[in-house]
Amino acid sequence: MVTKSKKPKKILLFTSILLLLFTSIVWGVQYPSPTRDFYVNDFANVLSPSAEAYILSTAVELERTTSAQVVVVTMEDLENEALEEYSLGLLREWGIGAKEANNGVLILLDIGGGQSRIEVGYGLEGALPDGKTGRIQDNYMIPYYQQGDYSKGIVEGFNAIANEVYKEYGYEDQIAGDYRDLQDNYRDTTPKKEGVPPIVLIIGLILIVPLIILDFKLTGGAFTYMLIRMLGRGGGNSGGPGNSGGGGSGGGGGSSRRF
Amino acid sequence: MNTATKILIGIVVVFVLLGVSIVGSYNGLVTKAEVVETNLSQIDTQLQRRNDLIPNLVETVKRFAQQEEDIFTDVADARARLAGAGTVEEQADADAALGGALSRLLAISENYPDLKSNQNFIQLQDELAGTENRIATARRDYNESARAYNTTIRRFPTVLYAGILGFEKVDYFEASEEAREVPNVGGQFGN
Repeated sequence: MVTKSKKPKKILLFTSILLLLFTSIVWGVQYPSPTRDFYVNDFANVLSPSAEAYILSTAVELERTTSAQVVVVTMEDLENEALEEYSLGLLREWGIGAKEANNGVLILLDIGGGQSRIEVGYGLEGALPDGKTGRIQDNYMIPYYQQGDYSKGIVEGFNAIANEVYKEYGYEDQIAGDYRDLQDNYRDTTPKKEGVPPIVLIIGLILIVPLIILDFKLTGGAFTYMLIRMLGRGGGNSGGPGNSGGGGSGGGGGSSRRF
Repeated sequence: MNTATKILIGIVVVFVLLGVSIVGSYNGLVTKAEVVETNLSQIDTQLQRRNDLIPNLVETVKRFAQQEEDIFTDVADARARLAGAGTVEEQADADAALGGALSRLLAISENYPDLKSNQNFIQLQDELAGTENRIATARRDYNESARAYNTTIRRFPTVLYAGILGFEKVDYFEASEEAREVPNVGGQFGN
């Protein structure tokens, strides 16, 4: 009976390794994890602390009022990745925007490649058509990028986008005025995520673990692997500390610029 | 427990697991087929979107460069071909041809500074680039889901019933080699 306590642990370890393997195989490109701030990820280290602080607080406020997420990412060098594919992949990987509304925007700056892109999630394609995102870059961002003032370019572009998002949700000129008092007008309609009660998990485990053990004894685990494969990519979103994506997606809307 | 009981339990467990996995894999297959369908219609949506953009773009370019007749004809031809495409394969070919013609249409702006700096043209160019990117995305999503689906119907245990229930292999959205070839445009730029 000594082996009994060891087996499940072994199998659990094995299953989790398998799951990890599966999740990493699905995507060829490795995307960085978002920082704890989530809304501003200055991987290239080109933004001033005040710009970062401003974007963070403004983006948090924007999400609270509209549920839309506008995220800034600066990269040192994208190297061989295609800008459009990378930015969409990142938007999807991080799940920028709320799940059903898909109202996420990614402002991506690739310093090494001299490229800039605004990636728009499905839900905001109406508020931010490609032509408009191109104009925002031409008027508010690229001129500053060309002078090396990335903080200014990012903040200006971020403001322009946030204003369009506010407009889309029925708030006029939010960035210019004090938009904080409007937060009560917005009611969170998305249902709270509810976890599985622990008792159900325990009962489930008690039922399943012996079956898995039997399976490993009889068939060497063939059915366990099959089931794991069927479960495929699911779950995820373990919600660590700080902010995180809401599960939004996009279809490649937005525009790109070189500077 | 004697050996016979143990074997019996083993057999029961195997069958239960097999049953669970078949039901699960059937449901998974239905979902995958549905995703393939959705993604294909997404390609259509985006192709249509580009189709709607073309007249505006051509008109704008014509105002500045009406002598570039060849390109306008090419665009019109490719557009007509795409409209008449029936299968996924024909669609992919025509899409590639139209993409090539449109990129040449955009390229001529290099020769016309007034066109290049025209606000309307810049906006249309962004819309077109965005739509091309959406088409590329929709194509990738479709092919990815088609690959997942095609793999599933050839795999155990799905392979046992996929054919009987009418789940057939789907085509990938890929242009054939000749369609992808970009025509020589050197002569048109006079360089």
